[in-house]
Order: sequence, then structure tokens, then C-alpha cells
Amino acid sequence: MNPGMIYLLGAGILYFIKGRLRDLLSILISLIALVMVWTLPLGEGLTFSFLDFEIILLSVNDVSRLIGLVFAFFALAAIVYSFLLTDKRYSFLTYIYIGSSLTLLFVGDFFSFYIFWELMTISSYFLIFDKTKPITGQTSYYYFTMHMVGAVSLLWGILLQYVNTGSILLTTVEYGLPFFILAVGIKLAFIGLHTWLPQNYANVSFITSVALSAYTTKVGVYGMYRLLGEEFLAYGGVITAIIGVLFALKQTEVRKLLSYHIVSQIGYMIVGIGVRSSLGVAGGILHLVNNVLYKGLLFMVIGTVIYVTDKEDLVDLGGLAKKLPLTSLYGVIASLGIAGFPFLNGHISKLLIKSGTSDPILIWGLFIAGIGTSLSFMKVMYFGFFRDKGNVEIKRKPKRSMLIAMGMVSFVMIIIGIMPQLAEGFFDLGAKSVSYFSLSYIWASLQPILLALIIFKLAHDIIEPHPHPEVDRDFYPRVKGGLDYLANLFSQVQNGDLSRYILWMVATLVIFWIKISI
Amino acid sequence: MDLLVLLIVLPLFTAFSLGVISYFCERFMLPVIIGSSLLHLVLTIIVAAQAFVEPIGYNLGGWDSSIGIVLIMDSFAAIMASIISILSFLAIIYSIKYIKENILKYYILSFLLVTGTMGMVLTGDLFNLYVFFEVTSIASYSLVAIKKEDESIEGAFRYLMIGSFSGLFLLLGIITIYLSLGTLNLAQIALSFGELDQFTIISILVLMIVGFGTKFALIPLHTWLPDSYPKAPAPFNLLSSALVIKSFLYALMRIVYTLYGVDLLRDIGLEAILIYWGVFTFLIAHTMAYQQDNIKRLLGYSSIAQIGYIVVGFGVLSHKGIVGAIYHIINHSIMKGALFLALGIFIYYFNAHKIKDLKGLGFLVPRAGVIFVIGSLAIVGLPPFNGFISKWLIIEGAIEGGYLLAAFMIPVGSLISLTYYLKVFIMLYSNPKEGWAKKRVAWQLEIPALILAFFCILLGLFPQYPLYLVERAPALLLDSQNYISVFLGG
Repeated sequence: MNPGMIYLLGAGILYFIKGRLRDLLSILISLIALVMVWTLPLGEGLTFSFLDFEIILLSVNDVSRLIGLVFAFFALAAIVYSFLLTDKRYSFLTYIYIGSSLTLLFVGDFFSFYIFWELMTISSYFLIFDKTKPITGQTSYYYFTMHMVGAVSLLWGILLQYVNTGSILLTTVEYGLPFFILAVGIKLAFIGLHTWLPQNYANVSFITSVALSAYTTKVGVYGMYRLLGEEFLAYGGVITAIIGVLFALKQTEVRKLLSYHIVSQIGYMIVGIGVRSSLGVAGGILHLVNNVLYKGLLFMVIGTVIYVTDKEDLVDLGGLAKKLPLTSLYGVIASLGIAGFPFLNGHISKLLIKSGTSDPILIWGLFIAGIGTSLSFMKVMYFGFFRDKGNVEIKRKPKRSMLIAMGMVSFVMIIIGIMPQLAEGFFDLGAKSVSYFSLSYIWASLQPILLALIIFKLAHDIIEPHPHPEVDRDFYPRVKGGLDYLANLFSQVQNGDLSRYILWMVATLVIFWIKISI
Repeated sequence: MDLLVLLIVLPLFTAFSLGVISYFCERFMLPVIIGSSLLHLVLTIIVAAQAFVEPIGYNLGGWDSSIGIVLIMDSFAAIMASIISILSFLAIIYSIKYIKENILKYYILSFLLVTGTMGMVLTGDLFNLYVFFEVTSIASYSLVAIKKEDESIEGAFRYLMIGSFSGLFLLLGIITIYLSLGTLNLAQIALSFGELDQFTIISILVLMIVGFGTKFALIPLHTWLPDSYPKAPAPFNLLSSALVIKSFLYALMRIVYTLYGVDLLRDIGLEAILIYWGVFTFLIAHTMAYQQDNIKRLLGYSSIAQIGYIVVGFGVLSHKGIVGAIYHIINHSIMKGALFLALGIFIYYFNAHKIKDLKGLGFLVPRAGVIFVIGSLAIVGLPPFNGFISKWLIIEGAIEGGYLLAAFMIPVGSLISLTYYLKVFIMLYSNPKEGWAKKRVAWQLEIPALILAFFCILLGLFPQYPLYLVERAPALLLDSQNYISVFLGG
């Protein structure tokens, strides 16, 4: 059975259960799912025919199993994190959301791929849309519309592929490539198509942002791995990585900053998967795994800060290290992880990606992005936690379940960091193994961090968070204006005049008659 | 099969007897209404089950079939008949609570409406088709005006004027046929239709399509629909959107396919015209729906758009296209039914006609909110709901027919429809207005809506069962010889 189904079924059960029992049960269900993914045998199963298609609901390979493991693990962590903070609606929707993304990893045909792809969008739309935060009405509208554009192009791509090849098997696509690129590009927040991401992840409640951060974009990356074999995408990845980090540096609102970092980190994965060498792909996928962990951990840390202080803008924060020592420690681990510090997981996957390619543009591009990453997390950690600013009020204590969840994630990060061979087992790297802890590699990983440290010292005043006006460069809402204009035009033509309507009828009759007679 | 004729006579008889019953013993009225529509439902299912096995023909009164009354029920008609009787039963249940004024007139007209649509679906000759066409139309005009407010009377008047023109065109077409062939029986016309000259053939086709097209609202013939919806009672909106326009569409497709046959239609070039007309219809209708602020108008435009999809499916003139189209007819009836009934609940308890009136109602009448959401997601064509399956089939049919552009426009249309349904969602789940409290919804209103919403999901998850029945329907359409042989012996 596909482990994601456990979540989908669980969603139905949880909907009818109240109170503390629901929270306990939800942890139990995610534990079961985790064990199921762990013991999942490779190969295919659970096929049946639906309409004219052979549906394969279970098709496991090493990569999907690895991603599935981290998805299931993070789901457990996120559910522990939100223990006793959730309501019925949240549990139900998160379960469908996580369940559909987990199911999607293990399906073997385009048809069910599309269905779960859409189910994710629908459930996350309702997850984002929250009446206590009126702005999410607009942002979630934007989110759903944009993802629907992606879904429509995915659907069209699938139809082209299906009609031309006659097979619905999930493979690298041959037909309708531009549509697949658009679909995947929107899902994984390719730069230029990323606009839905920051405004949503920064405006939802902190529990929701923890769950959202891990899945939507990562499923996009998995989609890219399964569907697209184009090498030029790697350059797009570098651009995404650099521009994403530049946007991130500007932000002072922590979750917005983290959101742009998702975009930037996705750039790394695109590079790794895009170059198509075995090391590169392994690096890209492993980076996905790592990113789920440390980005999720960062969202948990800032979530704890929001829970504790009700503030999330770096302008208002500071000096939290003394007040929230454990949370700060986790923050430091996550920051070092994302910066690629040796003996933490980011180091491993960044190294693999860089070893996977010999193209200088890609390598130097990632180097620059690496400096930006280190810089912005120094900013977060210093201004949020370590600088002296005594007047931040602590309103409640962080819950123990939050600390446990963050501890779980940190633990796995460190394990991957010091025992990379565990993760390597999922890939066929052949003889091209990398010795991660040789001095030259450690030095290479430390370089961007040290450079960033120097820049941080020199440009302290520029980097120091200060309120800045938002510039709206978003082009897409104008499409909506176009639709408004057209609709107005039509309703001016249809003005309620009966004689005009009858004229239309007669005109239609005549035109149709002439057209069909010729 | 004598039961077949009961399907038409029962609602007709009920409609007439209601007046008498209400005059003499009013307390029996409600049981009679419910009993009659329940009996109708049972009868329909019994007859339809037989028709799926083998088409049923029935010659009323044993007259000569060239002028007599002839009924026929094949799989397609059986599907339509089932939709009509199931949905009208649900609408009647709903009306018990919903309708508070002009009760007697409302029920009489509703039963006449059922008679008319059922007649159009079952009839095998053009004369009766015209009679039932007018019965349906007149019942609809009066139901639109039943509230006696200025707006509803204006809407009904427009509907009446435009409807009369369409009736005129249809009548012209039928007269042309009768003058040139001397018979009104569909099967007999089909036999000798090839002897007619090209001009007559085309004239009949044009008159029929414009005549019926006005009734099932192809753009730019749709103008009556958005004006007549807003003030009409919600159960009538359901009947109109789910049954009335569908049975007009059914009648046209039956005539066109039976008389002309696929080959002749291809020669005339109707394939491309129908497909692009459908695409034009749904693109414009979606765009118009986008800027409506009255929800019933919005849903009305959405119905027009769905008709566009169905016409594309029929226009492909292939097995797959027709299956998709018929499945979409079923699905659209169900989802639009769910939407209108949910909307009816909002109107009944909160008098919410505009989108902005819906503010927060998703929390005040939660189940109605969920039903509305399910219906909208289904009509947008998102999996795992039923609309997705039928749209997929139509797209596939269009691609196989070689109409790539038209096929591509179908998901684009869905995209636009999402943008306006999302507007409703945002209002539905915003903070409720001050002072509004949760309401308990009466079961008469809630149960029918819940059933329809449930079927939205069911038909999406298990499409193989309905499709098993739908798959048989195109046989009599694609090969008119099969249809003829039901009457004249093969």
C-alpha cells in the first residue's frame, strides 16, 4: 500500500475525533506512515485500470524512497511541533496535504501524478486561507490561480504525451516539454515564477508555514527529476539561486527571508538535477532532503519566536539567545547547515552538486549564492538572537513539544552530516565517491562562510535591518486587469436591450446559414 | 411497454389534479406531490433499467406511425430520464421548505416542466417534440415570473420574447420537413431524408440549431438566461439549469444525429462549426461570469459555459466525444444542482443574493458552505471530483478528432472559472458580519444538497460504473440505422 494513503485515510478519521485524542492519534498515524516508508520494498505494485489507463499507485525506487523517508519524518516532526496547537480543520487539511505529496512520490503513472499534484494545491489553498488573517484571502487567491496555471499546463503536457506515445507511464517526457517546464517551474518556484511563495509563506500562521515549507516546492523538484531531462535548466538553477538570495538579503521579516531562501536553495537542486551526472543528481536529491530538514527547522525556530513574542520582524527582535537558549541553539545548527558548514548536512549535498559538474559558470554561481546564504543567516542569527536589545518581551514559554520536534530534526541533520554514507546508499554513485572530510573540501566549504563573515563585519550598517518600503514589481496581477477589461467590454455589449438580442438571433441565423452553405 | 407512457402522463395528471385537490382537501396536497414524484422516480428507474438492455419503442393508441404519437427510450434517453426524475424529486423535496408563496401554481408548473422535459426526451416524432418544447418553455416562463416582482417579470418577458422566436424557427424547420416528406416520425424521416435537396437539408439544420440553440443558450443566443435567473426560486434554477436546457440540447442532438448521420454532418462541415461555437461559448461565458456580482447570474453564465463544453463533445462526432459530452451532462446536472441548492440555503436564511452578502456564511451554515465548495471545485474540473473525468474525456475526444486548439481551450476555460469561484470562496470563508449567528438548516433543504454533493465525489472516484452505462448511449446516435430499426424492424 502506498504510505501516503495512510495520511489520506487518517484525514478522514481525524475529522471525526475531538480534542487531545486527535493530536495523539495524528502522531500515531504519522509514526505508522514513517515505518511503512522505511519498510517499503522497491518495485511496483497496486496496479488497476481506471478509464482506459493502467494506474500504478505504488512504484518505488531508491530516490523516491529517500525523499519519502524525509517527507514522512518531517511530517512526524511537524505534527509533534504543532501538538495541541491545532484545530480540526488544520489537522484534516494538513493530513490531506502531506498525504497527497507523499502519495505522489510513489505513483508510477501520469494520471495519478496529476491527481495528487492537484490535491496538494487544493488542500494547501484551504490551509493557507485563514479567516483570522484577512490578507490570506488575497494571497491564497494568487496562490491557487498560479498553481492552477501550472496544473493546466501539466494536464495539457500529459495529454500531449499520452496521445503521442499512447502510454501513461511516468517517465521523462518527450512531448509537450514547454508545458511540463512551466508546470514544474511554478511548483518549484523557479525565479520569475516564484511570486506566489513569499507572500503566502510569510502571512499564514506559523504552524502552517512549517508544514508548507517542506512539501510544495520539493514535490516540484521531484517532478523535475522524474519528468525533465533538459541540461539547460541547470543555468536557470544558478540564476534562481543567486537572485533568490539577493531578494532574501533585502528582507527583514524572517519568514519572508526564509521564503526567498527556499527559492534560492531550489536553485541548487535544479543545478544538481539539471546537470544529469550521477553525482549531480545525487547531490540535488540529497540537497532536497537536507533542505526539508534545515529549512523546516528554521521555520520551526522562527515559529517558536512568533509563538513566544508575537513578533517576526528583525527590526523588532534581538537578544533572544539568553531568553530562548535551546531554540537559539537549534537556530544556529540550522543556519550552519544551510550555509554548508562541515559536519552538518548542507556541506555534503553542496559538495556533491559541485563535484557533479565541471562547468565554471555553475560552480562560481553557486559559490556566490553560498556567500549570500551565509550572509543572510548571519543577519538572522545576529540581529534576531545575539545582538543586545533588551526590550523584547517574552509572552509565553515555548512548548516542550516544539523543542522536542526541533531536537528531532537537528539530530537527523547532524547524523547525515557526520555519516554521509548512510544517505549515499540510496544512490548509485559507482566509483566516484567523494571524501567529504578531506581538508581541501572542508576548506572549500568554509570559504564562502568566511567571506560572508568579512562582508558582514565591513557592511554591518547596510545589513542592519531597518524598515524599508515594499516595491511591487509583480507583473502577473495585470493579467487579471486584462480579464476585467474584457469582461466589462462584453457586458457593455450585452446591455439588456431586447431588440438588440433579437437582432443577434436573426444575425446568427443568417451568418450560420451563409457559413454552412458555402 | 406501457410504463413508458406513464413517465409523461403521471406528472401531467398530477399537475392537473393538484388544482382539484387543493380546492377540496388541501391537506392531501403535500402527500400527493411527494408520492407522485417518488412514484415517478421508481417508474423511471424500472423503465430505464430495461432500456439499458434494449431500446424500448412504444406506439401510443396504435395509430399509423407517420402521424401517431410515438415514444422511444434508448440508453441515452434513459440516462436523461433518470436525471430528470432524480433531480426533480430532489427539487420537490427542497421546495417543500423553500417555496412559501404561490405554492399551488409553483407545483403545477413544476410538474408541467417535468412533463415537458420528459416528453422531449422520450418522444419519437417531431410534432410531439414541438408540443413538449412549448410546454417546457411556457412552464419555464411562468416559473421565472412566479415572484411577481418587477425584475422577475421583466426577465420572464425577455425570456418569453426570445423563446417565441426560437419556437418560431423550430416550427419552420418542422414544417419544412413535413412539407417535403409528409411524415413527422423521426425514424421515417431519417429513412428518406437523403432524398431531399441540399438547400432544404441545410435550411432545416440551420433552423433547428438556432431554434434549439437559443433554448440551451449558445452564445450569442443566450441572452434570456442571465436575466431570468436572479429572481427565480432556487429549485427552479436547479430544474432549469440541470434539466431544461439539457433536454433541449438532447432533443437537438437526437434530431441532428438521427436525421443527418455522422457522414452527412461531416460533409456539411458542422463538426468544426459546432466545436468552435462551443469554444466561443465557454470562453465568453467564463469571462462574463468573472465580473458578475450576483451569484445566480454567475452560476447562470457558468451553466452556459458548461453547455459550451458539452457542445464541443458532441461536435467531435466520435464515440469518445459523445461519451464525454453525455457524462458531462450528468455531472453538470449534479454539480450545478448542488451549487444552486447550497445557494438556496444561503438565500433562505440570510437573503444573500450578491457575492458580498455571502460574507462568512461558510462558518454560519457550515455544511452548505462545504457543499458549495465541492460543487465549485467539481465544476472547475479539479480532481478527484466528477467534472474532471468528463472534461478529460471531452479533451481526449477533441484531440483525437484533431482539434488541438479547441482541446487546449478547455483547461484554459477551467482556469478562468477557478478565478471567479475563488472570489466566492473568499467571501464565504471571511469573518462573518456582526450579529449574525449560526443557523440550523432544515433537513428538507440540506439533504438534497448533500446527496448531490456526495455524488459529485462518488462519480469522480468511481466513474467506471456510470461510464459503463454511458458507453452504450452513442450507439443509436452514431448509427441512425439502429434507431430506425427500433420502430420499423431491422
